[in-house]
Amino acid sequence: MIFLAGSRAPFLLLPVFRFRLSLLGGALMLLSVTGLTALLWSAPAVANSVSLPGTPMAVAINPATNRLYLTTNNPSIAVWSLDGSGTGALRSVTLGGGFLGALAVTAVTEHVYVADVSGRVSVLAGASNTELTSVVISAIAHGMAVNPWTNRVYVTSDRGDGRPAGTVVVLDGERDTVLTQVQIGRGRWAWPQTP
Amino acid sequence: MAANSLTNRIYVANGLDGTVSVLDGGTNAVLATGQVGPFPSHVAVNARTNRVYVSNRAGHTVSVLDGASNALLATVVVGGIPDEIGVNETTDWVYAANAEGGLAVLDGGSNRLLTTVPVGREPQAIAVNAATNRVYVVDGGDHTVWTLQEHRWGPPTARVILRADPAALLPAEEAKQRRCA
Repeated sequence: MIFLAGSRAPFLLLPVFRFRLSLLGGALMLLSVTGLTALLWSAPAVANSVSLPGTPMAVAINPATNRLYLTTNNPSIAVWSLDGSGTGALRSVTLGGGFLGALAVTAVTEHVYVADVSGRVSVLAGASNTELTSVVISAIAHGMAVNPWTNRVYVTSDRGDGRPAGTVVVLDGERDTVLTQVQIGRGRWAWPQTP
Repeated sequence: MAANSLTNRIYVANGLDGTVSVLDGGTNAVLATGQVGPFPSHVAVNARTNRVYVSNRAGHTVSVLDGASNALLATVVVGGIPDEIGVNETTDWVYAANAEGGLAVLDGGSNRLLTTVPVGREPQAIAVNAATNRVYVVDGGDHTVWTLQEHRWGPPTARVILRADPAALLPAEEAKQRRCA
């Protein structure tokens, strides 16, 4: 531009510059609008960003108490007591079984069932956040479900030796014992390979 | 897997067979086994409507079953790798976590895909509180926990409520392997 001073070139460039300015303005506007929208739609709760004690794995909620239960890559379960605004207080309860996985919670007895990689299911009392007992299922749990009315806990697993075969372990939620095992299908997939 | 507490039926996804088995919770006998999509991984039940939702990882779909007849009612294309699935029994909205990122929101009444909410890179676990209409999602990609608030007027709004302590994180490869449990 300096070299071209006095020539007609700067004037020729002006409309381009103006266009660039308007482009910049437009882009800035677009950025601010999308930024604001993004902020409104998914504002991260910076003020309440509480650190979890490890990689989160599975989650369950007790709708009656509004408590969220999270398993992580350590032998403790994180209990997140939610208030009305969706934020809350976090505490962790150590269960002596190593890496935790699938979990389920029942609102009727307020018990939380947590499976670990050693083939056990720990029973946590939701009211006191203490471990009541644990049940040996001798299988690595994939998923867990509970029927609060019959107080039965269901755990899906493969056989645990790597060969595919699906098993459902049925637990009695009252006595915390294994009632039966049902063989279903070839399993979810051959542990620990993914499809 | 999922349990319908009203009918006392237990639904189990057999990933390697591409089927879902129905268990009688009273006798623990297998009542039926039906074909769904390829590699079904998770099941959710709406006990109020007696509908069963199955995410098919390799089929990129969600299968809708009628809990009374065990018949396949619909197959909804959601895209990606639908994994964990959850349902709000009150609003009848179904949530399927896409292991490739985002959360698909389905309308249980019409069996149609309503929207996809961008919650994390690898959402892997879902919990729904039908009392507060809030959904909680674990993102294995960014190691965060999201909360979604449902709205009548539009798609759910999402925000991060928990972050993993970076010092306590599991190595990425191991986390990926564990996640399949």
